Amino acid sequence: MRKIFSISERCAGDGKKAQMEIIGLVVVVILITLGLLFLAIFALRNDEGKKVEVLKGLATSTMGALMKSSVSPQEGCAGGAVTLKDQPHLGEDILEDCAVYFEEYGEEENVDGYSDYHCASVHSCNFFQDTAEKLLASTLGEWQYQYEFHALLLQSEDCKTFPSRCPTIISFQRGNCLGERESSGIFPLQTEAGEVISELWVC
Amino acid sequence: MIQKKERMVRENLQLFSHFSRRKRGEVQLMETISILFIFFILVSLGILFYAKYKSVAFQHQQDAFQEARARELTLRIVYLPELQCSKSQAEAEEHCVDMLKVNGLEDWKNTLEEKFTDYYFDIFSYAKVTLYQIYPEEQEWEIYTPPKLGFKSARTNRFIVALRDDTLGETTPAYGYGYLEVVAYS
Repeated sequence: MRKIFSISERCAGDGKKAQMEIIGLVVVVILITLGLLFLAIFALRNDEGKKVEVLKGLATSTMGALMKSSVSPQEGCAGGAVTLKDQPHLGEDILEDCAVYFEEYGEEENVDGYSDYHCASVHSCNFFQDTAEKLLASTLGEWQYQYEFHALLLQSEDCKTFPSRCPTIISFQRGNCLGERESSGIFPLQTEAGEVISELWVC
Repeated sequence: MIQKKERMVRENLQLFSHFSRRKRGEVQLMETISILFIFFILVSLGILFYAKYKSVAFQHQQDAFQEARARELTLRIVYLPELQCSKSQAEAEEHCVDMLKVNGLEDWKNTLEEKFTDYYFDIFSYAKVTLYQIYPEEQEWEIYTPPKLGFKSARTNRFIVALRDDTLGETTPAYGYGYLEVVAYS
Protein backbone atom coordinates (compact mmCIF):
# COMPACT_ATOMS: atom_id res chain seq x y z
CA MET A 1 0.00 0.00 0.00
CA ARG A 2 2.82 2.28 1.01
CA LYS A 3 4.66 1.46 -2.21
CA ILE A 4 1.63 2.22 -4.41
CA PHE A 5 1.12 5.59 -2.70
CA SER A 6 4.78 6.47 -3.21
CA ILE A 7 4.59 5.66 -6.98
CA SER A 8 1.45 7.74 -7.52
CA GLU A 9 3.05 10.61 -5.58
CA ARG A 10 6.13 10.42 -7.78
CA CYS A 11 3.92 10.35 -10.90
CA ALA A 12 2.14 13.48 -9.72
CA GLY A 13 5.52 15.19 -9.13
CA ASP A 14 6.74 14.24 -12.63
CA GLY A 15 3.50 15.54 -14.17
CA LYS A 16 3.94 18.89 -12.42
CA LYS A 17 7.54 19.13 -13.61
CA ALA A 18 6.47 18.38 -17.21
CA GLN A 19 3.79 21.07 -16.98
CA MET A 20 6.35 23.59 -15.72
CA GLU A 21 8.66 22.70 -18.60
CA ILE A 22 5.84 23.16 -21.12
CA ILE A 23 5.03 26.57 -19.60
CA GLY A 24 8.71 27.50 -19.91
CA LEU A 25 8.68 26.41 -23.54
CA VAL A 26 5.55 28.47 -24.22
CA VAL A 27 7.18 31.53 -22.60
CA VAL A 28 10.26 31.08 -24.81
CA VAL A 29 8.07 30.73 -27.93
CA ILE A 30 6.13 33.88 -26.96
CA LEU A 31 9.38 35.82 -26.42
CA ILE A 32 10.77 34.69 -29.79
CA THR A 33 7.50 35.61 -31.53
CA LEU A 34 7.55 39.06 -29.90
CA GLY A 35 11.17 39.53 -31.00
CA LEU A 36 10.33 38.58 -34.59
CA LEU A 37 7.29 40.86 -34.57
CA PHE A 38 9.42 43.75 -33.31
CA LEU A 39 11.98 43.02 -36.03
CA ALA A 40 9.34 42.86 -38.75
CA ILE A 41 7.83 46.18 -37.66
CA PHE A 42 11.22 47.94 -37.88
CA ALA A 43 12.29 46.18 -41.07
CA LEU A 44 9.09 46.92 -42.95
CA ARG A 45 8.89 50.56 -41.89
CA ASN A 46 10.05 52.55 -44.92
CA ASP A 47 10.01 56.10 -46.27
CA GLU A 48 7.06 55.77 -48.64
CA GLY A 49 5.89 59.34 -48.04
CA LYS A 50 9.25 60.90 -48.83
CA LYS A 51 9.69 58.82 -51.99
CA VAL A 52 6.25 59.81 -53.28
CA GLU A 53 7.02 63.48 -52.56
CA VAL A 54 10.30 63.28 -54.51
CA LEU A 55 8.68 61.51 -57.49
CA LYS A 56 5.82 64.00 -57.61
CA GLY A 57 8.19 67.00 -57.59
CA LEU A 58 10.40 65.41 -60.22
CA ALA A 59 7.48 64.55 -62.52
CA THR A 60 6.01 68.06 -62.30
CA SER A 61 9.30 69.87 -62.86
CA THR A 62 10.24 67.55 -65.75
CA MET A 63 6.95 68.11 -67.49
CA GLY A 64 7.15 71.91 -66.97
CA ALA A 65 10.69 72.12 -68.33
CA LEU A 66 9.92 69.78 -71.25
CA MET A 67 6.90 71.75 -72.41
CA LYS A 68 8.70 75.10 -72.15
CA SER A 69 11.88 74.01 -73.95
CA SER A 70 12.69 75.86 -77.15
CA VAL A 71 13.69 73.84 -80.17
CA SER A 72 17.31 74.14 -81.22
CA PRO A 73 17.90 76.48 -84.21
CA GLN A 74 19.84 73.63 -85.84
CA GLU A 75 16.63 71.65 -86.29
CA GLY A 76 15.49 74.04 -89.04
CA CYS A 77 11.85 74.28 -87.99
CA ALA A 78 10.87 77.13 -90.35
CA GLY A 79 9.25 76.18 -93.62
CA GLY A 80 5.83 75.93 -95.14
CA ALA A 81 3.59 78.54 -93.53
CA VAL A 82 6.02 79.45 -90.76
CA THR A 83 8.67 82.18 -90.69
CA LEU A 84 10.42 82.17 -87.31
CA LYS A 85 11.05 85.16 -85.11
CA ASP A 86 11.55 82.96 -82.10
CA GLN A 87 12.41 79.29 -81.88
CA PRO A 88 9.23 77.23 -81.33
CA HIS A 89 8.56 75.73 -77.90
CA LEU A 90 8.07 71.99 -77.60
CA GLY A 91 4.74 72.28 -75.79
CA GLU A 92 2.78 75.25 -77.02
CA ASP A 93 4.09 75.20 -80.62
CA ILE A 94 5.25 71.71 -81.64
CA LEU A 95 2.69 69.70 -79.65
CA GLU A 96 -0.08 72.07 -80.78
CA ASP A 97 1.03 71.69 -84.39
CA CYS A 98 1.08 67.93 -83.88
CA ALA A 99 -2.53 67.98 -82.62
CA VAL A 100 -3.77 70.22 -85.46
CA TYR A 101 -2.19 68.06 -88.18
CA PHE A 102 -2.51 64.72 -86.42
CA GLU A 103 -4.68 63.37 -89.26
CA GLU A 104 -1.74 63.83 -91.63
CA TYR A 105 0.43 61.77 -89.27
CA GLY A 106 -2.20 59.26 -88.22
CA GLU A 107 -1.88 55.90 -86.57
CA GLU A 108 0.54 54.83 -89.34
CA GLU A 109 2.96 57.53 -88.12
CA ASN A 110 3.50 59.13 -91.51
CA VAL A 111 6.70 61.11 -90.89
CA ASP A 112 6.35 63.02 -94.18
CA GLY A 113 2.77 64.15 -93.48
CA TYR A 114 2.11 67.90 -93.52
CA SER A 115 2.56 70.09 -90.42
CA ASP A 116 3.31 73.83 -90.18
CA TYR A 117 6.62 73.21 -88.48
CA HIS A 118 8.86 70.68 -90.10
CA CYS A 119 11.70 70.44 -87.56
CA ALA A 120 14.40 67.94 -88.56
CA SER A 121 12.34 67.40 -91.75
CA VAL A 122 9.73 65.31 -89.96
CA HIS A 123 6.11 65.79 -88.88
CA SER A 124 5.70 67.68 -85.58
CA CYS A 125 4.27 64.61 -83.82
CA ASN A 126 7.33 62.59 -84.74
CA PHE A 127 9.68 65.42 -83.81
CA PHE A 128 8.01 65.94 -80.42
CA GLN A 129 8.10 62.24 -79.61
CA ASP A 130 11.77 61.85 -80.60
CA THR A 131 12.91 64.97 -78.75
CA ALA A 132 10.91 64.26 -75.60
CA GLU A 133 12.14 60.65 -75.55
CA LYS A 134 15.73 61.80 -75.96
CA LEU A 135 15.47 64.45 -73.21
CA LEU A 136 13.81 62.16 -70.71
CA ALA A 137 16.25 59.35 -71.45
CA SER A 138 19.22 61.65 -70.81
CA THR A 139 17.85 62.76 -67.42
CA LEU A 140 15.28 60.47 -65.78
CA GLY A 141 16.52 57.44 -67.70
CA GLU A 142 20.15 58.12 -66.72
CA TRP A 143 19.08 58.38 -63.08
CA GLN A 144 17.40 54.96 -63.28
CA TYR A 145 13.80 56.17 -63.12
CA GLN A 146 11.08 54.62 -65.21
CA TYR A 147 8.46 56.77 -66.87
CA GLU A 148 5.45 56.92 -69.14
CA PHE A 149 4.35 59.88 -71.26
CA HIS A 150 0.94 60.17 -72.89
CA ALA A 151 -0.73 63.02 -74.76
CA LEU A 152 -4.40 62.64 -75.73
CA LEU A 153 -6.41 64.78 -78.12
CA LEU A 154 -9.88 65.46 -76.74
CA GLN A 155 -11.91 66.09 -79.90
CA SER A 156 -15.50 65.02 -79.28
CA GLU A 157 -17.80 65.25 -76.26
CA ASP A 158 -17.94 61.44 -76.10
CA CYS A 159 -14.18 61.33 -75.93
CA LYS A 160 -14.09 63.99 -73.19
CA THR A 161 -16.39 61.81 -71.09
CA PHE A 162 -14.32 58.67 -71.76
CA PRO A 163 -10.70 59.79 -72.36
CA SER A 164 -9.69 56.21 -73.22
CA ARG A 165 -11.65 56.64 -76.49
CA CYS A 166 -9.59 59.71 -77.47
CA PRO A 167 -6.77 59.38 -79.96
CA THR A 168 -3.35 59.16 -78.33
CA ILE A 169 -1.15 61.51 -80.30
CA ILE A 170 2.07 60.92 -78.35
CA SER A 171 2.94 57.91 -76.23
CA PHE A 172 6.19 56.43 -75.07
CA GLN A 173 7.61 54.81 -71.99
CA ARG A 174 10.73 53.42 -70.39
CA GLY A 175 10.15 50.30 -68.31
CA ASN A 176 6.80 49.50 -66.77
CA CYS A 177 5.37 51.77 -64.12
CA LEU A 178 3.16 49.09 -62.59
CA GLY A 179 3.80 49.64 -58.90
CA GLU A 180 4.18 52.86 -57.00
CA ARG A 181 4.13 55.78 -59.44
CA GLU A 182 3.51 59.50 -59.39
CA SER A 183 1.94 61.77 -61.97
CA SER A 184 3.00 65.24 -63.05
CA GLY A 185 -0.66 66.14 -63.14
CA ILE A 186 -2.45 66.98 -66.38
CA PHE A 187 -0.88 69.65 -68.59
CA PRO A 188 -3.75 71.00 -70.77
CA LEU A 189 -3.19 72.79 -74.08
CA GLN A 190 -5.94 74.45 -76.11
CA THR A 191 -5.57 73.93 -79.84
CA GLU A 192 -7.72 74.41 -82.96
CA ALA A 193 -8.23 70.65 -83.13
CA GLY A 194 -9.39 70.37 -79.53
CA GLU A 195 -7.83 70.16 -76.09
CA VAL A 196 -4.59 68.23 -75.69
CA ILE A 197 -3.94 66.72 -72.27
CA SER A 198 -0.45 65.50 -71.49
CA GLU A 199 0.68 63.56 -68.46
CA LEU A 200 3.96 62.12 -67.29
CA TRP A 201 4.17 59.22 -64.85
CA VAL A 202 7.42 58.61 -63.00
CA CYS A 203 8.28 55.56 -60.91
CA MET B 1 26.29 -17.17 7.71
CA ILE B 2 22.87 -15.90 6.69
CA GLN B 3 23.36 -12.80 8.79
CA LYS B 4 26.68 -12.14 7.08
CA LYS B 5 25.03 -12.47 3.65
CA GLU B 6 22.22 -10.13 4.65
CA ARG B 7 24.74 -7.56 5.87
CA MET B 8 26.66 -7.82 2.61
CA VAL B 9 23.47 -7.34 0.55
CA ARG B 10 22.49 -4.35 2.71
CA GLU B 11 25.94 -2.82 2.31
CA ASN B 12 25.81 -3.37 -1.47
CA LEU B 13 22.36 -1.79 -1.62
CA GLN B 14 23.57 1.24 0.35
CA LEU B 15 26.57 1.58 -1.94
CA PHE B 16 24.34 1.28 -5.01
CA SER B 17 21.91 3.87 -3.70
CA HIS B 18 24.85 6.20 -2.89
CA PHE B 19 26.27 5.84 -6.42
CA SER B 20 22.84 6.19 -8.04
CA ARG B 21 22.15 9.40 -6.06
CA ARG B 22 25.60 10.76 -6.99
CA LYS B 23 25.04 9.93 -10.67
CA ARG B 24 21.62 11.60 -10.59
CA GLY B 25 23.17 14.68 -9.07
CA GLU B 26 25.85 14.72 -11.73
CA VAL B 27 23.23 14.44 -14.48
CA GLN B 28 21.23 17.27 -12.93
CA LEU B 29 24.36 19.41 -12.70
CA MET B 30 25.17 18.70 -16.33
CA GLU B 31 21.60 19.60 -17.26
CA THR B 32 21.83 22.90 -15.39
CA ILE B 33 25.17 23.68 -17.00
CA SER B 34 23.83 22.91 -20.50
CA ILE B 35 20.75 25.08 -19.91
CA LEU B 36 22.94 27.94 -18.67
CA PHE B 37 25.25 27.46 -21.66
CA ILE B 38 22.36 27.59 -24.13
CA PHE B 39 20.88 30.56 -22.29
CA PHE B 40 24.13 32.54 -22.52
CA ILE B 41 24.53 31.60 -26.18
CA LEU B 42 21.02 32.91 -26.84
CA VAL B 43 21.69 36.09 -24.85
CA SER B 44 24.98 36.75 -26.69
CA LEU B 45 23.30 36.07 -30.04
CA GLY B 46 20.59 38.56 -29.08
CA ILE B 47 23.17 41.17 -28.07
CA LEU B 48 25.10 40.61 -31.31
CA PHE B 49 21.96 40.85 -33.36
CA TYR B 50 20.81 44.00 -31.56
CA ALA B 51 24.24 45.64 -31.97
CA LYS B 52 24.26 44.85 -35.69
CA TYR B 53 20.71 46.12 -36.05
CA LYS B 54 21.60 49.32 -34.18
CA SER B 55 24.63 50.00 -36.37
CA VAL B 56 22.64 49.39 -39.56
CA ALA B 57 19.80 51.57 -38.25
CA PHE B 58 22.28 54.31 -37.40
CA GLN B 59 23.78 54.13 -40.90
CA HIS B 60 20.31 54.20 -42.40
CA GLN B 61 19.39 57.21 -40.27
CA GLN B 62 22.56 59.01 -41.34
CA ASP B 63 21.78 58.28 -45.00
CA ALA B 64 18.24 59.56 -44.58
CA PHE B 65 19.55 62.71 -42.91
CA GLN B 66 22.04 63.26 -45.76
CA GLU B 67 19.34 62.71 -48.34
CA ALA B 68 16.98 65.12 -46.58
CA ARG B 69 19.76 67.72 -46.44
CA ALA B 70 20.49 67.33 -50.17
CA ARG B 71 16.77 67.64 -50.92
CA GLU B 72 16.40 70.70 -48.74
CA LEU B 73 19.42 72.31 -50.39
CA THR B 74 17.98 71.59 -53.84
CA LEU B 75 14.72 73.28 -52.90
CA ARG B 76 16.60 76.25 -51.46
CA ILE B 77 18.48 76.64 -54.73
CA VAL B 78 15.40 76.17 -56.94
CA TYR B 79 13.62 78.94 -55.01
CA LEU B 80 16.69 81.18 -54.58
CA PRO B 81 15.77 84.71 -55.73
CA GLU B 82 19.26 85.09 -57.19
CA LEU B 83 18.44 82.32 -59.71
CA GLN B 84 14.67 82.05 -60.02
CA CYS B 85 12.90 83.32 -63.15
CA SER B 86 11.01 86.49 -62.36
CA LYS B 87 9.54 89.38 -64.28
CA SER B 88 9.19 92.64 -62.33
CA GLN B 89 6.20 92.35 -59.96
CA ALA B 90 4.79 89.15 -61.48
CA GLU B 91 4.89 85.87 -59.62
CA ALA B 92 8.12 83.95 -60.14
CA GLU B 93 8.06 81.04 -62.61
CA GLU B 94 8.28 77.64 -60.94
CA HIS B 95 11.16 75.24 -61.66
CA CYS B 96 12.88 77.81 -63.81
CA VAL B 97 16.38 79.31 -63.69
CA ASP B 98 17.09 82.71 -65.22
CA MET B 99 20.31 82.50 -67.26
CA LEU B 100 20.89 86.25 -67.01
CA LYS B 101 20.96 85.85 -63.23
CA VAL B 102 23.25 82.83 -63.50
CA ASN B 103 25.73 84.82 -65.59
CA GLY B 104 25.46 87.71 -63.12
CA LEU B 105 26.10 85.33 -60.23
CA GLU B 106 29.18 83.93 -61.99
CA ASP B 107 30.59 87.44 -62.46
CA TRP B 108 29.87 88.20 -58.82
CA LYS B 109 31.60 84.97 -57.77
CA ASN B 110 34.71 85.81 -59.78
CA THR B 111 34.85 89.37 -58.46
CA LEU B 112 34.08 88.75 -54.79
CA GLU B 113 35.76 85.34 -54.45
CA GLU B 114 36.01 84.66 -50.69
CA LYS B 115 33.23 87.04 -49.74
CA PHE B 116 30.92 85.22 -52.14
CA THR B 117 31.77 81.83 -50.60
CA ASP B 118 31.42 83.18 -47.06
CA TYR B 119 28.01 84.64 -47.82
CA TYR B 120 26.61 81.47 -49.41
CA PHE B 121 28.30 79.16 -46.91
CA ASP B 122 25.68 80.25 -44.37
CA ILE B 123 22.96 79.06 -46.75
CA PHE B 124 24.47 75.96 -48.37
CA SER B 125 27.31 74.92 -46.03
CA TYR B 126 29.42 72.14 -47.58
CA ALA B 127 27.80 71.44 -50.91
CA LYS B 128 28.48 71.63 -54.60
CA VAL B 129 25.86 73.13 -56.88
CA THR B 130 26.11 72.68 -60.62
CA LEU B 131 23.64 73.68 -63.32
CA TYR B 132 23.56 71.54 -66.47
CA GLN B 133 21.87 72.35 -69.75
CA ILE B 134 21.03 69.32 -71.89
CA TYR B 135 19.06 70.93 -74.70
CA PRO B 136 19.39 72.81 -77.11
CA GLU B 137 23.09 72.38 -76.43
CA GLU B 138 25.07 70.83 -73.60
CA GLN B 139 26.61 73.32 -71.15
CA GLU B 140 27.34 73.51 -67.44
CA TRP B 141 27.84 76.19 -64.80
CA GLU B 142 29.39 75.72 -61.39
CA ILE B 143 27.27 77.87 -59.13
CA TYR B 144 28.73 77.13 -55.71
CA THR B 145 31.74 74.96 -54.87
CA PRO B 146 33.42 75.51 -51.50
CA PRO B 147 36.19 72.96 -50.89
CA LYS B 148 35.44 70.11 -48.50
CA LEU B 149 38.59 68.14 -47.94
CA GLY B 150 38.35 64.62 -46.56
CA PHE B 151 34.57 64.37 -46.61
CA LYS B 152 33.07 61.16 -45.23
CA SER B 153 30.14 60.88 -47.55
CA ALA B 154 28.43 62.76 -50.34
CA ARG B 155 24.79 62.60 -51.38
CA THR B 156 23.68 63.78 -54.81
CA ASN B 157 20.25 65.12 -55.61
CA ARG B 158 19.03 66.32 -59.00
CA PHE B 159 16.09 68.45 -60.04
CA ILE B 160 14.97 69.21 -63.59
CA VAL B 161 14.55 72.88 -64.45
CA ALA B 162 13.83 75.09 -67.43
CA LEU B 163 16.62 77.53 -68.26
CA ARG B 164 15.21 80.87 -69.44
CA ASP B 165 17.35 83.09 -71.62
CA ASP B 166 15.85 86.50 -72.33
CA THR B 167 18.70 87.45 -74.65
CA LEU B 168 17.54 84.85 -77.19
CA GLY B 169 14.20 85.19 -78.95
CA GLU B 170 12.63 88.40 -80.17
CA THR B 171 9.15 88.25 -78.69
CA THR B 172 9.32 85.42 -76.18
CA PRO B 173 12.35 84.22 -74.23
CA ALA B 174 14.06 80.97 -75.22
CA TYR B 175 14.04 78.09 -72.76
CA GLY B 176 16.56 75.32 -72.36
CA TYR B 177 16.07 71.97 -70.69
CA GLY B 178 18.49 71.06 -67.92
CA TYR B 179 18.90 70.13 -64.31
CA LEU B 180 20.40 71.32 -61.06
CA GLU B 181 22.74 68.91 -59.32
CA VAL B 182 23.36 69.33 -55.62
CA VAL B 183 26.07 67.29 -53.87
CA ALA B 184 25.77 67.57 -50.09
CA TYR B 185 28.98 66.66 -48.22
CA SER B 186 29.41 65.56 -44.64
